[in-house]
Amino acid sequence: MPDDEQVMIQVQGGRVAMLAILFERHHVRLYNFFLRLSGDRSLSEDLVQEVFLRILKYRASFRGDSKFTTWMYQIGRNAHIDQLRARRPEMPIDEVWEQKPCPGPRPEQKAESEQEADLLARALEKLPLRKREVLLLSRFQGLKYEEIAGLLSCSVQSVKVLVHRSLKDLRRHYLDLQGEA
Amino acid sequence: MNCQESRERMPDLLQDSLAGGEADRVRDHLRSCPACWQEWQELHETWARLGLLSEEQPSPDLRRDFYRRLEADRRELEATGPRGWRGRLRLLLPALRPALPALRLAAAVLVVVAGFGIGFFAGRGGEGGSGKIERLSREVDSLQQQMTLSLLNQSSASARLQGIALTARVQEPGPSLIAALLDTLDNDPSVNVRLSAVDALYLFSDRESVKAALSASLARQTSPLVQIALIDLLVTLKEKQAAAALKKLLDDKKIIPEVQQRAQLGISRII
Repeated sequence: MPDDEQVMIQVQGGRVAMLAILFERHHVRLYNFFLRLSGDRSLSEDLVQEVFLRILKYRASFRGDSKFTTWMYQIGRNAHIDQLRARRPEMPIDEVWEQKPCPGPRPEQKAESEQEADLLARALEKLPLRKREVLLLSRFQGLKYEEIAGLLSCSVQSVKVLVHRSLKDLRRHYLDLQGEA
Repeated sequence: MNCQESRERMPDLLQDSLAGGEADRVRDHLRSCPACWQEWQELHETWARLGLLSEEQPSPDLRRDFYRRLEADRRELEATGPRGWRGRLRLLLPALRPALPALRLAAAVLVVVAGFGIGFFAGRGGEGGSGKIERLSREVDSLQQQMTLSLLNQSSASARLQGIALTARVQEPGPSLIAALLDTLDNDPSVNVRLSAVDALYLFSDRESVKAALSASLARQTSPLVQIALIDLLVTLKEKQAAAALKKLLDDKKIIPEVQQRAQLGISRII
């Protein structure tokens, strides 16, 4: 089975149908990334579509010696930023990163493990966007700190500090919510 | 190692990205420092707890819209002509990207010479061009088969349906694709997917092995809808060897009367 980079080079060369292989490999994870960032299912699906549209549109900019997933998440972050800017054009981008997602509807009755996951999801929602994003990329999307540093245009050490602080904040929010429940 | 250094390396421990010796030094410090141990425990527990968040599935619309869009883009690109030398060269680039400048120069010379050679032979007649088109056509066919096999293995029924729909575009299905379709027909948990597999196998029913497998599959089906679709297909194919399988349905008490009537009618048309 060809790896992502080999497939993307084929797409670059005009074999557009091979994009389906990359879609099948990554769309669910990408959808969950956007879902945890935004809390909005419909918007997350739109963003996944937008990412694959941009992959096709900007395929010439992919460099065969870089990792496909890092490039894909770079496109994903840009698509998300563009969407946030479109929604709140007057807000400076630094403040956008401090935004919290719209909380989704909460079913009243849930099983215990579901309740725990629900508390955790709500605790995650309380984190500012940048902290949430760095946790999602490092914990769920399998990106190394070096790759995240490239995405966020900051040092690897800053990413590690951000992960450390984000986990501490997440734990604090989780325990607070647990106390309220 | 001091507390500051130990805390700086905790995120690396979470991703298991520290070299063996370095990780051992952090762990040694954690064992000797209750405050850092407490900090590490809390971080690790929160990191592990994140695993509780289950992966959610997007709606089937996402996949449908993606393939619709992809098909439109593919057609548009085909309508504007082949990608030309630029695209084909891009495919070759990774192989032609040697590390050493001398090799790079040699590769450049090779490309120029090859270009002259291709131009020379292409100018001599149309055979080279048609051969290239045939080769590209085979590549596309092979790609579609890979995509189909990949989709048939997905857990989502809509993905498997999409995979079956793609088989219609495959010109020369390989044995693995036929086997995957027959396996889908026999074992897929979704009735809709099994029904689509019956339709797809019609395209390849000129093969004796497929006809035999369709007859054999009749006994394995439990859904009346799939049983009827298979009977109709075997009758359309006038597959005489299916008569035995149809007769078995008449004797099976678990088969509902509607299916048995269809089988009876089918036998009369086949023989």
